[in-house]
Amino acid sequence: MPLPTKKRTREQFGRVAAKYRCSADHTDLEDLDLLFSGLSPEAGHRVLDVATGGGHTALALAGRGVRVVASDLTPRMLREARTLAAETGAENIEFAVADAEALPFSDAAFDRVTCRIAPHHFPDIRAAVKEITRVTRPGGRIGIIDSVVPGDPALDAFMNGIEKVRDPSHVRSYRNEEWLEFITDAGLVPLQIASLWKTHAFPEWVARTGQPKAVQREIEQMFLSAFPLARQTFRILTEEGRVVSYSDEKIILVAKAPDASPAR
Amino acid sequence: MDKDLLEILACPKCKGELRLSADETELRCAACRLIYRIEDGIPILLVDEAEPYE
Repeated sequence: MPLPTKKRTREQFGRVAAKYRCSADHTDLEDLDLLFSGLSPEAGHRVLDVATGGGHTALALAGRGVRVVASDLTPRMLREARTLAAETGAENIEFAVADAEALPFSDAAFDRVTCRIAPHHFPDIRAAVKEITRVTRPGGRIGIIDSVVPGDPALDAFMNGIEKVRDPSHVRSYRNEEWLEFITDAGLVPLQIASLWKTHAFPEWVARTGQPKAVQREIEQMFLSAFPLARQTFRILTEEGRVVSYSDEKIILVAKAPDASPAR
Repeated sequence: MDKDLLEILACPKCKGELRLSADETELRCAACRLIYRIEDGIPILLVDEAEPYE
């Protein structure tokens, strides 16, 4: 188990927790509407939001009358999420510090499980998907949103390379095909796969992970010197030698847990 | 600590039952002999941060 990555994740998000609570990219919830249309959370459902971060998904769920458990590896992120919950007056939400690869919940405990813009931080994605599957009841649904990269290896390397410089706890943004494989290998049945391109205002995006100015400048340089296909694919917009914005793709995936548990 | 949550919590290591201490400051797994502390009302359910006990 590559523990150093998890330690880095906790250090990283402990430092910048408040920025994620207020982040424009995390509070713009267009992707959640798409997710919820396939996930169909119903009042009274018990729902787990894995790696809740600033708690935006958990709160959106709480607003739908479900009983939410929000988990995260970083205690400070959960305290930020709790602050946000208190501000909105949500009461049907509980918190637990947990590792996505070793979830502290009994089998089949949840009707729905969500995980939004977080799997790219998990050192062992397959272990996490397996755990998420374990805690979902038979016939229950799993909803995942994460950044993905195009199939072209050069575009894949370009975007993952940039993300790693920007955020030391970034492990990998996967291709859509990889996601489909993780899901089906865990015994889940895909119900809905949607995709959404999201535009990021560069100055806020680059500052969010709390990197020094020199690193931020290095990232900007990587965008400025992008090869033509990368510039076009990621819609890199520049003005007078500065990066204004770029876009990346999110996968919005809903899968179903098998109706009966397979024999163990 | 919320009773509804306690009902579905399990030891992250063995997935077995966790027992809440009388003062509600920690959760114990009797099978793994591990104590998970509760900090500021939030249980820290990480195997690496659990304390072994005899």
